[in-house]
Amino acid sequence: MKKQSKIYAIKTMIGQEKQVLEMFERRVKAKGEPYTTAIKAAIWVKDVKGYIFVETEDPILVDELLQGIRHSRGRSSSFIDPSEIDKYLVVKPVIESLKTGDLVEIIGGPFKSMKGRVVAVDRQKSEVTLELLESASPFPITIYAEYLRKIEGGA
Amino acid sequence: MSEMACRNCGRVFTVPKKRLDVCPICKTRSLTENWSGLIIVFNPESSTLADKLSLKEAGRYALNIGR
Repeated sequence: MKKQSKIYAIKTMIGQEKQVLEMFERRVKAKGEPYTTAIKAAIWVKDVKGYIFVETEDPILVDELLQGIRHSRGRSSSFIDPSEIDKYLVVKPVIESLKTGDLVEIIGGPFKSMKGRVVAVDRQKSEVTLELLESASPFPITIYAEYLRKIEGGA
Repeated sequence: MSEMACRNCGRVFTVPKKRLDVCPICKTRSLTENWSGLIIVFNPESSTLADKLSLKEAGRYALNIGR
């Protein structure tokens, strides 16, 4: 009978999730069978700090692969219901969490790494108008919302 | 080296800095460095996660791709 695959959480050091996932991927590919068949997928979700998730039908093989991987802290003993991961698979657009007065950091485009305060939000166009904090003259600029990261809420 | 994601097929590639502007899989000129979240699919036929994301081929995919 075919085994049912289950999702297990793997604890990692916070901030090292992607490194652990990439190391895990390299090991699976290097070892070949039966690892490549038993391990279905591995996932790193940005919003979940300190964990990656592995879908497998044989958790013992995951334990073997994790041995000696830097920054990994072992596998959880119980499996996770796939519906718990669902909410992370469809990522909420940044624009939905932004409102006037929020402090944001620009993470892409020509103004990358500058900070600003939101003065207007256009949800239809997915654009945000903000005033740069580091600029000498506080003229407003309009930026696509995906280039922004919220730092803190406004008053 | 930088990692870029294709906006069309969602694949993630490691490329020499700013040297590649065509996706090696779907051949579209739509790569971006603005992505987050990573799923590595080893067995798309029997994976629940790959099925939920409609991924039909093994490989590395970004979960969230910006403009």
